[in-house]
Amino acid sequence: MNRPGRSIAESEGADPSRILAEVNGHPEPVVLRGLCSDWPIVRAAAGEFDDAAQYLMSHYAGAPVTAFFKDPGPDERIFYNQDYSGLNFRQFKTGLDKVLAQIRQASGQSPPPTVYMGSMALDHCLPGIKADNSLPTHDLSATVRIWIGNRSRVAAHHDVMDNVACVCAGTRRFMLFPPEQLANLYLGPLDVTPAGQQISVVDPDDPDLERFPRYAEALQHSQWAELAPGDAIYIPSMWWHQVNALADFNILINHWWRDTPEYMGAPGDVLVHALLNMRNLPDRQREAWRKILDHYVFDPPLDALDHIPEKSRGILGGTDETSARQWRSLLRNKLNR
Amino acid sequence: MTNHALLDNVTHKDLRIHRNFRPGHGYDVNLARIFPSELLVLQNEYPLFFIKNRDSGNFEPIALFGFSENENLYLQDGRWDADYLPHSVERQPLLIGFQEQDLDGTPTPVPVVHVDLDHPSVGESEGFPLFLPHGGESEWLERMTSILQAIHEGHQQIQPLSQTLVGMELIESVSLNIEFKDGSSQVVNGLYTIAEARLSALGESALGALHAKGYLHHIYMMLASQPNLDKLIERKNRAVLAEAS
Repeated sequence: MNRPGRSIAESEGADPSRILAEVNGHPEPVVLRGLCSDWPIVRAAAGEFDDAAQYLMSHYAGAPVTAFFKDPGPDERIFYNQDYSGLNFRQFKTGLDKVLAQIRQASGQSPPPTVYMGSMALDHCLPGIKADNSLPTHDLSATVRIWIGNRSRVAAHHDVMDNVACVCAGTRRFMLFPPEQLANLYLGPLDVTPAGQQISVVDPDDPDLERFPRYAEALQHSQWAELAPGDAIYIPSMWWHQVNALADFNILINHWWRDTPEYMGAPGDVLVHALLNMRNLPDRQREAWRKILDHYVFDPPLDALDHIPEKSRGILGGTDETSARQWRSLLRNKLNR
Repeated sequence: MTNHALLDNVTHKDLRIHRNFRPGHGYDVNLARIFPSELLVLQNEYPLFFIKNRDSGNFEPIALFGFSENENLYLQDGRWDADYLPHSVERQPLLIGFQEQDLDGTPTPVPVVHVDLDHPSVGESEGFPLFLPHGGESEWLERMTSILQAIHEGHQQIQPLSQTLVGMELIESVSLNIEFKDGSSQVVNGLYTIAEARLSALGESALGALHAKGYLHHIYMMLASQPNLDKLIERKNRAVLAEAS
């Protein structure tokens, strides 16, 4: 295919029983061909829609799920409305049976609406299929999610967790950008988002390079892959990824994990705090804070703390469960004003 | 009338809650729902009974404040004349609502604070502020939030308590027929109390089972509150005599 960027590195014959531990911390994405081709859900979905639906329903005990519904329109993207004041889809609580019925009904419509159940915990939605249809997560603190829908396009966004996503039904196209490409992706608002994360507002299937000229640069650094049922992909934490589900019926099961201590909070909270409390400081003060953050957080000199006795370094010397508790409580009190 | 809104620190930044325990300020009720965790303090102030919830069929504990609808004999000269307010009174005009949120991939109804904007205690000029100058939660709101949390947890204890007491036939109907000193009288129906005779007849294993669930404590707190009925009648007598003179 003639497009900028390059295809994602591939690995064949990876061992599903150890793959999460193996890719954990790997800095680049990897496509893992055939990693989950022997999962029962992949086999069930290889036939007719009804076979897959029957497999799912035979394990479904009626747990409520969150689904998205978007009327058919010129833009297939799960996206914003015209002025980004809201979103172009509706979100509602329903049952998996209803979601499957809507997907079946949509397949007879032209153009079809987008029907999509996203990011439901397998433990909640279909606990009975987890043992046979997910990867061992070892001692990583992981969450396993299932995504079921018809054709959909989700704009480039990132997650703070590492991810191994397994395509169980349908074909999925992934386009990934390294974390540092953020300025070239034209990211949307932080406060209104389709699924909790900022998204790129460029339409990747028809990019308007006059409006978004830097996107051409992002494309140069992009990596892409098309996955068939049974294939999986490792998406490193913080990599921007755009995902197109291409078939009338798609299932994905993914594993998210964070290899950091449980007591650490969401790093995105720091961004909001900085926007609130640092961005509008007088220039010289803000520059001073940049130096302070570099010195203590981003680029500390090796001898930064040598002049303080080790047991008196406090939070500068490191955090643990106990000190995180103390600082959390202090921060919480300071925030309440 | 009520006008419930999800409380937020932008729309409601200037709201204050002004407690005025005079008639017509939202506290003219003759009973309030109460919860197991507060029975110990309540039995020292109010006569406690059960009423039957027609929707759920549960027997719910209540504190009695008066003998006819809207009669609250604890309201005196703008004060609530007791040392302890039941949670369900104190929380006013705030209440719990539920918001559907996805938590860790599971749709979950999350309790959130609502405010009844039409409650007479809601205003902007006097009383306790809900929010701090920059949108933080005031001490008063933090205390109310913990009371709402206690109510939320208390609600979930009512059904098992009711089912156990009904199953052991420990609840019986009681009809109050009270004569007041001005010669008037009042019949109060629809109240239930602990069936003392049945309780005395329980064997060791049944008592042990009640105790293991903490229900024996609740039962005796309900019983211990009975002398407060005479005190409530006295309040009414003082009121009718004052009116007559």
